[in-house]
Amino acid sequence: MQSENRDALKERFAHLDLAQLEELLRQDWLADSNNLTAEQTLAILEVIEEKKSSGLNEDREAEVAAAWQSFKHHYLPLVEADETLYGATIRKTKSTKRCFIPPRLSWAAAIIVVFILSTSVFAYQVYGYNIFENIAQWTAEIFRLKAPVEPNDNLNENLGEDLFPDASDPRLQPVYATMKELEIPTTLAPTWIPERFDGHPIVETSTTPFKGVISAFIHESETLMLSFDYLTKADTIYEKDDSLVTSLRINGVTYYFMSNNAQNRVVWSVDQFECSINGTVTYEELEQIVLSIYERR
Amino acid sequence: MKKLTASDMEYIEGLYREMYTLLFSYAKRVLQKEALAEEAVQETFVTACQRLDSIKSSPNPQGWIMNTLKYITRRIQEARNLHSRYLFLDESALNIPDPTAHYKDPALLYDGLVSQEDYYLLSRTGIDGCSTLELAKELGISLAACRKRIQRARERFRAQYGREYKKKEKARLGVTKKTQSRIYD
Repeated sequence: MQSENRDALKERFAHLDLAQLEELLRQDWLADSNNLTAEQTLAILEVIEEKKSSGLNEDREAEVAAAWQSFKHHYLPLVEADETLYGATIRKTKSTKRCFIPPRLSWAAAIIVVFILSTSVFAYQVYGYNIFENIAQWTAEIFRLKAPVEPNDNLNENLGEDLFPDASDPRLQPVYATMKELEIPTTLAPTWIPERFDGHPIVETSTTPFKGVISAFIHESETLMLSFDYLTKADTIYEKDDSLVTSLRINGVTYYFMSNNAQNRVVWSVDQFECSINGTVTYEELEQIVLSIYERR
Repeated sequence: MKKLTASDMEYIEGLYREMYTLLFSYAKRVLQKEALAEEAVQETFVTACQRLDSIKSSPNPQGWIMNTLKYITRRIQEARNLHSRYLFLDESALNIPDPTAHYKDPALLYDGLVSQEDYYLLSRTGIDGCSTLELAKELGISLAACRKRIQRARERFRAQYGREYKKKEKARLGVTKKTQSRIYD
């Protein structure tokens, strides 16, 4: 029943060593399971099992058989009584890193909503001088940027080489190369990331529903993820905790900083691109990463 | 809920046998306790049985199971955190020299408001990381009965220490970053 997709994922994760794979799982759990999809998680678990390949198959089969007997004997009565041990009312869609909400409001209506929200009980704030640049909305649990303009599908025709400078930092080369393939300007990406992320990143591209690049740097117990997507008509929603959102404005672009439990994130949009960097990094490091975007200019 | 048919059980057993090892290894990694890990997997399949229509109509039942397990491991960890927080609301005020130690007479620590059994249930789950099944076996009762006893202990404790607990929680969550906005233009 394994999906074809899982094989491709396994192939990719097989390049990582056991410690890195374990760390990916740990970070995903710390981040409320927002980093990895179920398929990615299962692929990682399978790769770990294959790499370890410890224990005899007979032993495992015996363990599974014993667990199944225990399930039937002790836990099945809960099913019949329609109870659970931990009161699990499963949310129908456990949100992953991003979820997409179809746009229901026109741009004009969205502006009105902004003003309504600003006087409501929602923890809602807008920073920046040009409110028409983008609109950020957030509550204690989520953050989203609303794209104010129709994405310009013809922008690629205007892209020139100056939008794709090379990276001097070899760690970022794979990210830049993939961005270039998708015609996402590498000028959106930082030129610096903390020294401790010294390995090669995992770089993944997606075409639907978002066209974009996501890259993950892993170092021992820490991760750093860079994401660059084409904006679509749908909003991107990021999970956050109840800490306040702060902003930083550089060259007319507003960068929104927020935390989600153990991880911090910065989100911004430029033209038709939405960008996000998150991981086990401090706000100060995130700010330094953001500032490095401008160091090439 | 509708009774599971033989073919339903066959379907669940197929998934169970196919996925148990991976699910258990995931749960053990995040919960750090074998008994809790096993319970997380069992609870996942309890949920799967209760939502059989949902899982059968899912294009990716394995993904459905994996997401459910992730959610349940979080619930288990939250329950553990809650129990241990209840027990050590104010260790300085209670002057507990070693918060991880077990006390023969917890009533002395909690002004006689906590029964020995309640303390035992919450500390075994919250501090020792006991699964409900382990505790049920210790007490010689059914899993469902044990679950109810833990729930009642939690409710009694919350009622007795509710006000103080809320105050502590507010203080704990009150450490938030100040809003700041800086301009580099």
